[in-house]
Amino acid sequence: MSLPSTLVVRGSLEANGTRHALRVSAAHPHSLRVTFDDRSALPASPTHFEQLTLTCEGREVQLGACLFDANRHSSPLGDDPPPEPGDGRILFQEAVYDFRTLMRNGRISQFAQRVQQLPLVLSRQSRVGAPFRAFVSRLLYDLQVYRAVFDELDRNLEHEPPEARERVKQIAVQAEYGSFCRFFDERLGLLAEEVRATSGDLQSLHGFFFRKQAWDLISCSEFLLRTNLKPRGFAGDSAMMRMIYENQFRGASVFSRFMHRHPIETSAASAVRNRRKLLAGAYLEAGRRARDAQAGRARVLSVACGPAWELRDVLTAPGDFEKYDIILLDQDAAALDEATQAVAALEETFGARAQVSTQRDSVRTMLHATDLSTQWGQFDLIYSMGMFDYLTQPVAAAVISRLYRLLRPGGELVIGNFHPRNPTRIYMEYWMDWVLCYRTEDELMQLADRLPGAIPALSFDDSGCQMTLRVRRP
Amino acid sequence: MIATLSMKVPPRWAEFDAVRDRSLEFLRRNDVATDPCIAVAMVVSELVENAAKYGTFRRGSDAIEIAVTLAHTVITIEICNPLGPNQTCHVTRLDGMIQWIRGFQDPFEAYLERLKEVSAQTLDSSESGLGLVRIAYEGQAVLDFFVREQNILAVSAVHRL
Repeated sequence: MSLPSTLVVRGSLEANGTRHALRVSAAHPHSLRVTFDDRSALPASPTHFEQLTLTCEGREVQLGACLFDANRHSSPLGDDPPPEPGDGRILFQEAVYDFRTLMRNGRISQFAQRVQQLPLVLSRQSRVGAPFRAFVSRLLYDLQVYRAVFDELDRNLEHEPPEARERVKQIAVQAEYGSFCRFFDERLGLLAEEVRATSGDLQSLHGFFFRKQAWDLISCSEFLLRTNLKPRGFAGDSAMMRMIYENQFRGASVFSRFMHRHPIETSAASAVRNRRKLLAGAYLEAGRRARDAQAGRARVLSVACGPAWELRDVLTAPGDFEKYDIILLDQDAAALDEATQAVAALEETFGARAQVSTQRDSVRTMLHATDLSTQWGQFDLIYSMGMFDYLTQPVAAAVISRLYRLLRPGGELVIGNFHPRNPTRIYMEYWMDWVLCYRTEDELMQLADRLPGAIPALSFDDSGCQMTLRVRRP
Repeated sequence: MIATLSMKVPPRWAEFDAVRDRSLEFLRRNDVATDPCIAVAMVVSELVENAAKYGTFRRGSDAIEIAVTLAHTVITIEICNPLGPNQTCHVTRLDGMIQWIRGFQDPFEAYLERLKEVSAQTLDSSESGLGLVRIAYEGQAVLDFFVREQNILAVSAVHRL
């Protein structure tokens, strides 16, 4: 049986034959906050216990010796921090447990298991050939030397007042970023040349090896760190998209600002920003079609909508709010929240109400519904600019077929997909750990092959690496 | 060259060795080298076992459908099984698991993470997902799925030669 997203975990602490029943109030990475069932007989603080037994859904696990440390404040006074959840904290005395996934999937791992895995990870480099090792060593030497110059600047500024420190950093960024880009672009070109003839599985191995070596450079960049860690469980989340749309310097140090900005100025990132203009045009056409057909508002469905930044280019005057009835679909609740906030901000700016609703669902699972058009109606425009890059060909074909059936006669389907000649591909795979399903022109056009009566057209954006398939239903 | 092997088997474990053998024979007959043959046969076996474990076969005619297609340098394995009406959690979990596995350039990283979780103490009785990770890591295949009409789960794995 699958478990709900937040579990109810109960347990008991045992010492000298006595048991204290409790529930877990919060799981910290390496300790637990607990609330006792009998609040009138709380254990003294600190109290040593022989073991903690946790239970959930009829299953139980036993953890070793631990210490109960009661909360020091029962209620906040003045500037005190808010009270911690529960009656106190459980700290373990003989093992380091990892509780990060306890409340989500009920799993508790031990730090010792990570240590036990080290030989497996260490042995992985034995398959990496000497030429690639030497290449990585030279590349990282260059980058570390470059970085050291800017880290020294940061250190020299440590004792300056914050305003002066920030001003000098901004000047350094303005003066030196262009030069850094030329330097880094040249190194990226060498990396692309080095791995050009490498097979797919060896590229994976090389990417793994490379990121382990380059981790401190990767982790100093807010953007690169997020693409690598994927905190929402998948690449290309709405926070990454927002960073790309904002296209600004971020970071405490000068070098971290370079490393954040550089990947969001690539061709692939430009292609993401180019979607806004393209979609604004598609909205205008849909609005015109609906008006010509005297159909009222144009009905629009955005599939895998992300933060829906394109709406800033669609809803640009009070009159635009009357033109569209929009459904934003995404699997990610955080993305839908961001999109909702963006729409609310537009409404406030223009003093108008938008007809926009959100739907949380995964496109992979929603297709089984036989009555999708009964549920959602039909649309003048359906678009998905960043999702097909993650769908394999069989799934992409199924998805496009279902979406096509949701179009009104005359309606249009707009699908984005990166082309294999994306010049940012190696940068994305090696530095960002970000892999896409690339399609050639033929592969993208094939998706429209079985759509009855479809009129497909293919175009490239200004970056030359993103294709758009536009399919009109007659 | 495009060639397809299609099979339909009941969800009985005794049938699965024959599915693996027929897949191997099909690939060898089409001149696929030994290593990818073994990798793809492993992928077929894992997906068929998953279909039997997590599918809902209520009618006698309900079966697991298997298609192995060789198109030039791409082998696509598609496995379909019926789902029950209350399997939303399973499908949601599968969705998250597959996206998570595919988030790594090197599936070895997913393999490491999953090994850690498999050896962990757990309050969760659902599947570990190690089989799916093996498909990505050892089978060198890109996983994907969708739920089609009539509540049929269609899982695919794409292996490039």
